[in-house]
Amino acid sequence: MRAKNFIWLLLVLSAGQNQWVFAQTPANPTADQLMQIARSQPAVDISEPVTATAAFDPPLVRPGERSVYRMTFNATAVSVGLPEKISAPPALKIHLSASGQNMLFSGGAFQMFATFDYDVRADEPGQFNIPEFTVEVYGKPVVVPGAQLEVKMELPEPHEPVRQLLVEPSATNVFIGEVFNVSVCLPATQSGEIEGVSDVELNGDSVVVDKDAARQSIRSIEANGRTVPAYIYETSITPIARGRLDLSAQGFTVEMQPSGAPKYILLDSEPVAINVRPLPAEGELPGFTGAVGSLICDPPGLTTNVLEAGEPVQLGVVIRGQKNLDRINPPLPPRAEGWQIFPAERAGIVSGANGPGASFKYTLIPLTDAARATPAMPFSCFDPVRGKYLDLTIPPVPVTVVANGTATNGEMSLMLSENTSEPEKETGLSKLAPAPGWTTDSLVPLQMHGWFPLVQIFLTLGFGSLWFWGRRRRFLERHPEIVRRREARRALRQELRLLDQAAAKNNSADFVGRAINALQIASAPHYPATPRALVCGDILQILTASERAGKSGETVRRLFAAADAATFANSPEIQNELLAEKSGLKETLLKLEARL
Amino acid sequence: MNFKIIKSVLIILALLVDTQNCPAAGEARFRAGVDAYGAGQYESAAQAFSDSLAEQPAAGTLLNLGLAEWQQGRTGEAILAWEQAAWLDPFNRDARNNLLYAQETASVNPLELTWFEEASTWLPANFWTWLAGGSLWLAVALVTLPGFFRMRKAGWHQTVTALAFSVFLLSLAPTTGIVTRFEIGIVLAKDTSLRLTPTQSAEVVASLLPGEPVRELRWRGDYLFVHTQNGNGWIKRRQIGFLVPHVK
Repeated sequence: MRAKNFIWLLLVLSAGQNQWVFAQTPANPTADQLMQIARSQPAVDISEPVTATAAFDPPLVRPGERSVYRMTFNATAVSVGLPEKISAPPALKIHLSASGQNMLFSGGAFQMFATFDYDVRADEPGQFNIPEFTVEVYGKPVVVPGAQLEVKMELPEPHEPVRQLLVEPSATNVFIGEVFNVSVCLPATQSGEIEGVSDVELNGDSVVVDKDAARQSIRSIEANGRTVPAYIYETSITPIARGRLDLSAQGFTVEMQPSGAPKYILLDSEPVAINVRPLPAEGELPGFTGAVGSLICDPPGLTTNVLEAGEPVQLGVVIRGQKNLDRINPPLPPRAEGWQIFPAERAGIVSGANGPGASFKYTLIPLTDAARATPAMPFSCFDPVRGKYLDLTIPPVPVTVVANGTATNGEMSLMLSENTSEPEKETGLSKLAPAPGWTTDSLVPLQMHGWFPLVQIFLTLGFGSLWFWGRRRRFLERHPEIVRRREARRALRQELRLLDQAAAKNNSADFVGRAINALQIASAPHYPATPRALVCGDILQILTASERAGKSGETVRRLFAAADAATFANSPEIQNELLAEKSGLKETLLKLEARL
Repeated sequence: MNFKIIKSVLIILALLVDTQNCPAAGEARFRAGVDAYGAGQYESAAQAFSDSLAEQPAAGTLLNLGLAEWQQGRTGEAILAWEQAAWLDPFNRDARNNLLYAQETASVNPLELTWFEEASTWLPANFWTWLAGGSLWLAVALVTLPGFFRMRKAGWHQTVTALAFSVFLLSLAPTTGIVTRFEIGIVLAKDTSLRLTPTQSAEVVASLLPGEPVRELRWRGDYLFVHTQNGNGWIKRRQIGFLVPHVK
């Protein structure tokens, strides 16, 4: 058994070694090649009847000690429809801790094996049974056999606790984006056997695992107060969200069965809490693009220092550090007068005396021969060790730019204007404004104020009124008779009032004068003529024939006769009896008014 | 009796004079904010700038408020202040640069504006309203008044009228943009969840970062149904600040 385990360990180690032998990524295969590879792979056999196994590992533990309730199916993990909660005695604390699947080549085809590990603990001694139950796999019922766990205070020696992985992070209080190492260890068994672990996975929310950085080894570690050899899997991870990160690991080890067939066993670890801190907002420097780590920047290098205006030149920048180099975002090209700068292109990871570095190439074009140096490019990173931002600004490189005859001044001016017409995007925050500047009474736009529509309505009514007034005025100018009749009606009403007053005072002379005035006013618009120019005959012409022959005509004649007598005869006294004509006169005047 | 009336008049006059002194008080608070910022007391600076804004909104004060909020790590408040500064004074280059820098640093999306909203950012918000209103009524006056005053319609009347109507028609779109930008808000609170329904226990559709712009579509109770670049959903009213403060 021991020799078989050693062979398995060698297999695992060599498989892991293969991952980093290919430091350079091979050329991507074409679609046809991928199809050929896919067709050449052995089939996955899912036609075998699905069977399930279930057991506690170990089946005998002390109170509070961890055991694992492990279920295996010869099926894919996603096809197993596990119940949300497994029916277990209430004294048994049980929860799903890991799940995984692997393949075993057998009979010319791959067979899938899915494993589900449940963390189980009991605080009190006793015997605990998980009865058999049925789950659906590939849509068919599969019976999971029952399993028994015994919890005793005293256990026969030697007692080997559950095999589990240990997660050892290099730091437990890190900044977001900070890369740190994690070791996953499987200590040797009490009999000294070292088992390898395959398909190692690190579980945790919002972390990026760098599988390219994984390496495996066998070293001695401290476990349970003693030094034991252990299989160690190391990799780097990067937290990408702040807050508490519960990091755990899982992986498969193998046990050779008496038949010689390997049996995969899913192991997992207790979670380790890691505090992920946000990057401080204070002290952030210009040109920060999210780079976190202890980085340095090599002096930049130009392909040539003597160039012509309009001629592109490449500026090489190498940012060195130990970790996370392929995730560094290069500095943004600044907008600089006289230069056109294109965003950086990644040029891979380069090695050097100061360690590996991420290389970037900028293409710059001097737009005039006035340029004396490349513009400085603000860049900064956050150093988690020092807990502050570091200024890594790429310094200017002196250049000699000679005038180019091929580009005309006009073209250069156009390029310059294109380069400077857009708002300059500066790489940091502005300074404080020295004065309040542009003020307003409210941020609310005018049209959202309640008075705004009222003003518009008022203006609309004002201009509408003016328009109607002008229109009416033009209409009356075309129809002056309307104005005359209206004025006549107004004057007639006034004369009628005076007539009434004269009658009330028994002033017959005034009464006759007012009556004649009223008759003249009421008749004038029909000619048209000035009212005082009308005589008795003119008034009678306005009346109908029957009115002329009747009382109205008689009243008009008597009034004019009395007035003429008073004016031209020697007897100016007007007889008071004319006052009795008031009702007839008013009737006549009303008729005349109605005809206006 | 007369003395009481005179006394009342004097009190009213004193109040009016006091009101006119408010801009000076705002200026003093602005200076206090600048001093506090220089001394590294960003919280006090932000408070002073806020007080100054309550007296008299000003683009420079909003710019400084944004800086003070940024220094305190209040990304949402800082972006909102700079957006308001740009709303008030679109020619304020510092506000726009700060906005770009903050949005890039905080990894939040910039505002997604329609073409007429984009046009409305070319000039201060109220300028468009004055331009649209002034040009319309100028055109109406030029059509109406010459006839009313019996003036002979001159050639320049018609030219100016046509020009004024053209300006009015051109400024209609930006004026509409101003109104629709009224519904734009900025996420202030950290860990703001976009929910499927307007309830506390509703399913979370997406998480929004402080500074993320949202557009209010409708509201119900304490929740607003908003459009974001991560989809539509409900968020709590107090979790966002509007570009133009308004009450519903």
